[in-house]
Amino acid sequence: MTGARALRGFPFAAGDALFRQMLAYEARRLWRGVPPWLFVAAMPALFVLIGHWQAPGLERCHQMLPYLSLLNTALAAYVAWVIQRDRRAGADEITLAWPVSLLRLYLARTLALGTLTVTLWAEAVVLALGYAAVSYGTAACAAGTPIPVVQALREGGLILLSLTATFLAAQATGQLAAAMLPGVPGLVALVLYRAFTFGGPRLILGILQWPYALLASPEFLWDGWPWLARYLHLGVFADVYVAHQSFWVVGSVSALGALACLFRPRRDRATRASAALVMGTVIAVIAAAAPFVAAENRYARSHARAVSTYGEPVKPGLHSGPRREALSDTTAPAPARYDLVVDLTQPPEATISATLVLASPPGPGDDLELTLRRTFDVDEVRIKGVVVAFEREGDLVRVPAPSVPSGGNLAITLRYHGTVADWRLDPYEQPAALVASEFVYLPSTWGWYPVPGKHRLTWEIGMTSMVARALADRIVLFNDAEPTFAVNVRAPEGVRFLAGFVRGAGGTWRLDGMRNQLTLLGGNWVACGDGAARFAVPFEELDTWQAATADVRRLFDALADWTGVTPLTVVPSPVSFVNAGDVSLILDSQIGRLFEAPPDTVELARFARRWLYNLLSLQPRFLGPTVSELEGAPSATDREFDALRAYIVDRVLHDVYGVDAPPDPPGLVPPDDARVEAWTASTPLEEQQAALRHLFHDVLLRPLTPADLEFLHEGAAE
Amino acid sequence: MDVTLRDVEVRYGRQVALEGVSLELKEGVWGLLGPNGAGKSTLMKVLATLLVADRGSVQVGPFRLPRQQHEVRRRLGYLPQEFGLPGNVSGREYLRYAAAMKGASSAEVDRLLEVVGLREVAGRPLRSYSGGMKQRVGIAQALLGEPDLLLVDEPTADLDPEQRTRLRMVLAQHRPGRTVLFSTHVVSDLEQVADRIVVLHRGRVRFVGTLEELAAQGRGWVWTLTDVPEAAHPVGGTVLSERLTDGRFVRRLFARRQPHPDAVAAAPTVEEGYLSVIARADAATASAGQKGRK
Repeated sequence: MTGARALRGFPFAAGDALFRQMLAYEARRLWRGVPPWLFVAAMPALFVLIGHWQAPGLERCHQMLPYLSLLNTALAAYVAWVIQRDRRAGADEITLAWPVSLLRLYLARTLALGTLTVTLWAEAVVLALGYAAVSYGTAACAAGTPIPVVQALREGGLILLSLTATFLAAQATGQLAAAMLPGVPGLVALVLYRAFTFGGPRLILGILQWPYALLASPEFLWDGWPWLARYLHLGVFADVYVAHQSFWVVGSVSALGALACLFRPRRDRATRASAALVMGTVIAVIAAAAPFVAAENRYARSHARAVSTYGEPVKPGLHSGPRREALSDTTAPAPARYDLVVDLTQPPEATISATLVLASPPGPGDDLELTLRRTFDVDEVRIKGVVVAFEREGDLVRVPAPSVPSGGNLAITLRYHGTVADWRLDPYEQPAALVASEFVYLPSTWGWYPVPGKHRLTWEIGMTSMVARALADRIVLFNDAEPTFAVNVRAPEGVRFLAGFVRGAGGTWRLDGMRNQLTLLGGNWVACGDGAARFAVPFEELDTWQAATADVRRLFDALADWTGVTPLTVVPSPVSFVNAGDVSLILDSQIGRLFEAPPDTVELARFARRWLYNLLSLQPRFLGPTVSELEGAPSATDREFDALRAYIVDRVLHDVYGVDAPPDPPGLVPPDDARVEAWTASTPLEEQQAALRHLFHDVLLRPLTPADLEFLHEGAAE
Repeated sequence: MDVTLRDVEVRYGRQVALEGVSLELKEGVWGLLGPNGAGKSTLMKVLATLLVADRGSVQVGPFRLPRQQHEVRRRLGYLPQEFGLPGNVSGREYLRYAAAMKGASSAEVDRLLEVVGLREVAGRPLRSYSGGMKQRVGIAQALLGEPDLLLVDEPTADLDPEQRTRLRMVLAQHRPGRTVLFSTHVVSDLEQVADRIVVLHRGRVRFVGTLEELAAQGRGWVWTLTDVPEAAHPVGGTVLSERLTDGRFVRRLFARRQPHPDAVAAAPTVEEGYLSVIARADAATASAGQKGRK
């Protein structure tokens, strides 16, 4: 059978004269009403009135979408009203006895309504894509570069997909409502459904998951209403967004097809085609949901891993507000000293003996609680060399505290072992902790050594995004305590470098010193250099590291002069990594960008400015509590500290490249910057360096307090 | 086109609309009589392929329902008792659309507009039509395509006397091979056009026959009583009419037995024959009910 013949055999072949007549008749009836013309007029009005005219194309489209959802709710209600008006008026009593396929009849009505949907869609698409094209054109013209065609096409595709989903969904939901609940109840249900899908699934279920996510209306995602997005953290990932929009496109078309087939099913010849189409619809809907199912499976696997790791499922919950105060046990006794013997020679196994000395242990009769990740099996607990009974509960080890003379110390030794291969449950599956043949990562916040007090090591951030359930590590474990660490590590054979440790004989690594917490980070790197920066160089780059890091070393030397923090450990390109502190630095550090900078001094200085600033922001050894947007506005102290960091960058760049920062426009200098400027103007350079070195030493790994920046105000007062 | 129903049953939930209906409708005009709720419209809908019988078989010409309903629809004209029309199209547009769907020509549309007396207003939107005019549009669409089976359910309800007469003429026009089923509870409409009558009551067929045979059903049920004051002797039965004829007061009575010693049996009309069929059916039902209670 040829394609044309097969098409003619279809009950609603477009070339069929009878079907054309039906379509023309239904379309004529539709367009003779006033509402379609109101919709047509509303579309450009919406575009003109809503959204910022300076916004990029896709951004503008997203600004418009929430308001478009109102228009489309009205459109859906109108569709519901139109599709059932013949039934309501009784006209179907006559029509249904005519020798026409009901499939054709319903399809003609659907397509007639489709002419309105397509008209509105075309209006929106022409306006949005035209705007995007102009936006790209003017931006490229101003920058003097060619139009980034690939990016423009991607953006255009997203706009097209988004608008197609939203308009098709309007018609499909309207017709579905009319099919399920005829009359006014159908309209009411429709409006309630649209309202519910706007925020309901997320509000009720906490986190949108398959299949509830599919119920969210297409305008709901991708930030939706700005205030709703802000409070519910609706930012979603591009792949989920595309999958969701595609689902609505395919699902809407399928639903309309299914409705046409199921419209008063009857036992005539069209039934066979109807049955085939209904089956096809079911398959199409299932296929459209596949990306969601895949994504959900991915998170289900992560969740299962969490269950196996933690012994219990991590409950979703809403976390908001500052994290540090909520998660640190301020009543716990402070540790004075740690002696750790760590054996990592059988990756992913870790066998550890930890002795901690408490300066102010709990009184007799009280239990001493230590937090140690539940991953580890505790083999033995000794107090003063005597084996004692202990209880293990989740991440806690509970031992009865013996009587200790007032002011005396208490030494507790724990021997434990466990497998370390833990992954964060975010979409990118970063390692939370890992012991492998060529890589070791044990962050302090993961709880790999016992910490006095009851600390929560992980929690799940609920409502962060549609499907992401990230396990977030806590930030501060010890509060203000700064115990002495004496650590011996036997690292895996492939680990040639352990950040902050000194290599000893027989593959052991040693670290001694006071610090707030300890992270083990090592890999197949080689420590090189003896200046302000020590470089952990990947094995394969040993021949080029000196040339590659020449400029960086100058920067680090200058930075060390101003901050007093040395030595810094740096892994040069291609691994973007700055001084082991947190795995996020590996991902976030901008050091790689510096190596990619052109060898022009001015350009290099420009890159270096950004790189250094980021370094000062991310580097735990320069820790200034950068307050994220979620936790509220930065305090005056934070702002002053930011201004100081900016000043340090200016000084370093001046010292290295002789480049001065451009002056701030007159009258636009923020008060915090002005305070720093006043201080620098009235203070000799040597005194500035001394104050800043003192500052960076004091705020090392603890929250910044207003008292730390008191010297700024003293300088200003003088 | 012959229509044959065998033991047809239709239920709306627990309520029985048609029960054990067996009929053979041959070519000609058939009147379907019955009180409100008798099942007339349900029977029409089954034949119009809008309802599928729960039990029994329905055959229209060589086609069986519901399996071959599309074939039946090709040969069907149907005017439902209650219907609506799209308001924002003209009468002519609507009928042309209906003609296209039924495979009829535009010329036939014009002819039928003339027949139903709507040619002058055919360009006006249907929403401006009166109830009677809409009824005539409905009749015209039913007649489109020269149907072999014409089902008209209470077609005269909204029509004035002139239009009633005109409609009766249209329906009475004999066309070889056509079967017309004309449902009504107005007996006089049928007297002019129907060849045979079917009486439905409480979902069952109570009578099938000619007008004369239906009238004959009333023999022994209709009486006349002349110049008898009611106070002198109680008069039984139901008064059908009272009139003064040649200075004498004549009363026509409907009763199963002689309602008064002076009452004289009278020749029944078709309507009285219909009433007697219904009365017998009610009596039979009541008797069956009493037996059931005993």
